[in-house]
Amino acid sequence: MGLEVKDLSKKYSGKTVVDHVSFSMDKPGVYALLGTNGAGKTTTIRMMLDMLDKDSGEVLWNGQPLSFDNCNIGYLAEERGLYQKYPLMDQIIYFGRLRGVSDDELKKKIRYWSGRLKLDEYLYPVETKDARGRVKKQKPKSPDQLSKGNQQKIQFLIAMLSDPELLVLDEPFSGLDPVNTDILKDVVREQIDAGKYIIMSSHQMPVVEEFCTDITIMSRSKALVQGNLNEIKKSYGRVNLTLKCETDVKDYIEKQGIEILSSKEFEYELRVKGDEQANALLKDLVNSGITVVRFDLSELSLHEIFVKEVGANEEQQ
Amino acid sequence: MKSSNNIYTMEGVGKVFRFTLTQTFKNKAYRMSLIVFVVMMMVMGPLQYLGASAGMNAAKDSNELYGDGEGAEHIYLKNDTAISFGREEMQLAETVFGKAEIIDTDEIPSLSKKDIAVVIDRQTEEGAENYVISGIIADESELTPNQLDELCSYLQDRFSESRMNQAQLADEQLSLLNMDISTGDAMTQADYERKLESGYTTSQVSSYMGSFSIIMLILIMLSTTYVVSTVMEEKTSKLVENLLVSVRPMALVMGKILAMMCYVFILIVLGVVGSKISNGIMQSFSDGGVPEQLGNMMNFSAAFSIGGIKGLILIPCMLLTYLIFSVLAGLLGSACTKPEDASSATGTVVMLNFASYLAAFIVPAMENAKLDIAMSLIPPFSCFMAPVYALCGRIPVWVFLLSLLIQCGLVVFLIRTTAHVYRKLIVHDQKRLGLLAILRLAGKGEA
Repeated sequence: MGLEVKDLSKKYSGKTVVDHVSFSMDKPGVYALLGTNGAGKTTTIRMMLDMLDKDSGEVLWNGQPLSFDNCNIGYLAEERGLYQKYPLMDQIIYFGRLRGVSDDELKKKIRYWSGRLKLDEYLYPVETKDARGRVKKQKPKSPDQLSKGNQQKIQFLIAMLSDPELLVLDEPFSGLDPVNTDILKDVVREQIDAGKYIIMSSHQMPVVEEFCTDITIMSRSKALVQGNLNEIKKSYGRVNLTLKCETDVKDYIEKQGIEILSSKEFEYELRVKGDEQANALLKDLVNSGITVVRFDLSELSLHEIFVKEVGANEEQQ
Repeated sequence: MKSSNNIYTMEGVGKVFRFTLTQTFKNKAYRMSLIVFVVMMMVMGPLQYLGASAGMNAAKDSNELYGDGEGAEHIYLKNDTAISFGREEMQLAETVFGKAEIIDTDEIPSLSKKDIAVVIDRQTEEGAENYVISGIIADESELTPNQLDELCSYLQDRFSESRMNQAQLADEQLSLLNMDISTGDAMTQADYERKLESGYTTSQVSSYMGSFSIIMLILIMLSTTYVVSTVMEEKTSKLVENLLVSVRPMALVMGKILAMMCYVFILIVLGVVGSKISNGIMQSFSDGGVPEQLGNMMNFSAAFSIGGIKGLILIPCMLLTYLIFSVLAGLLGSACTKPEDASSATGTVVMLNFASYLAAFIVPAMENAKLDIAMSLIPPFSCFMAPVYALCGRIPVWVFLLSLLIQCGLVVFLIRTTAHVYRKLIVHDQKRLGLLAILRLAGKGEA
């Protein structure tokens, strides 16, 4: 059952922005929506969450049309914002109540997520001592005093308040510093372990690669590449070879007809045609008595697949 | 393909309402607006009261018949009529002439600088006989012509009273004779019969209409800006998408509109209560020299005195009108994305509000039955006019009921359109749409 996105399409003023996109998640995990700017990722997400009318298609959750009535949805929108004039705690409580969380439960949840996301000092009064040693309570900061990263963490906290079963994260790591990125990554890992369905849209391929099991790469409103990430990678073969020796082996590489992508002293990044070509090179080096320090044959990275596919598609168009 | 979910549900409206209203009262700017408004209302009555008192004192001072000025030493009265008119009937004790010696005479003597002669006789002008009271002073008199005019005018009223009293008429006959006569409005027979039937004169209807309209004008004027800015708040704060996974657009928009309506209503009620209190205090310290109605400033209750319990019907009509204009403001606010869009959105509502207010002032005086019915059915004019017309009997009950039905239909249409437009324009960040463009958008269903 899970999530099924079937044949979603959307046109604005005659221009197609999402063109018959379909994908599904039949088990918990992370599904990544990838694409260049304007590829249609956010529009797809907005149609999924019924914020935009669909020109065609449907989105099902356990066989029923997806809505917040039948699915507990947590959403971190691409456009970040908070009420600038209202106290942060009031806003969080408001969002929690709208999601149907009881006040008692809310208090516990806010305390937990505030600690987990390192937001305590922005949500609770901080006790300080003045010169005479008297304890004073400082009011929490107002939203307009928060950095963008902290505002983003507050929004993430809001998304987590109802303990959602479907979490939709649109560019969750953009704008976060490395420390906060790690905090958020840990939370995402926890949610995967807890059996949540996560839809993630991002430009940061290494981060997506770390979590996702399935992907859709969108380009110019269409789904270009789709499926299980491991299988997609496998389909491109093991073509990246990192080689490090103690002497110059350039002649050996050229003799095998292998493309050199980059080289630094006796370390080479190579593009091979497959396992056989790589093995032939290794055999040649060993037979010649050359010491091989590093020989690492790997698949294309998600980044490389993305650039290769999207680049080719854009050239065609 | 339309939305798979029903966007027209009100679930969560109470939560949005409570949050918006609470935050409004927590907000310093809104609190300041409320305090300034209430203080202004409290001060306005007493200021007008003081102004009116000063004006009345000045008027009294400029009247040379009263005050501390010097009057005449002698008043020679030559009465050539059969009506008895002497010291007692003249009632000069309270005036500056109170100390003057009144001398009945048949011949006016040579007048000194401080003497006055009053001659009352019967004269014939253009074939009609009438009484004439003439005042005479010496060439070098210290008394002014103005004092003389005021004395003659005063004596004219006293002479008239004396004449009536001496006719030996009963009080009822006297009151009949003293009753003012004025000319009424020219009208058709149908209008005349209508007036007989309703029991309200045109000036009464106009007065009630004016009173009702001014309440609506102020209420709508005050609330429009607040409603527009609060409806666009989520879009300008860029958190609308996060909200719409928890609450439907209709509940979100209506919760916000109702909260702002409530804030402005509280503002008005506090203002009126404050005004009543300050006027009450002012009156208790006054010397009673100011007419009571001046001490009752900002009294908007006149419309509700249409006729006892009937006046209470105006309250739900007033709330319905308030709702229509507020939702209209919300609709226009839902098409705004930037704070600078708010003023033009507000302008449209203010214009319609003023047009309705002016129509409510002009149309009743025209006394045209067909126009009355038409204006009672066409919103937004009907919102201002139908309730008062109905209670004054200027339109049939069925017209009033039809008018209410149209207004209720309009509310439902506006609320649904607002929710629809709000959702359509979630991602719209270009130029603000005008009212016609919004209605086209609602009709076509495409942003």
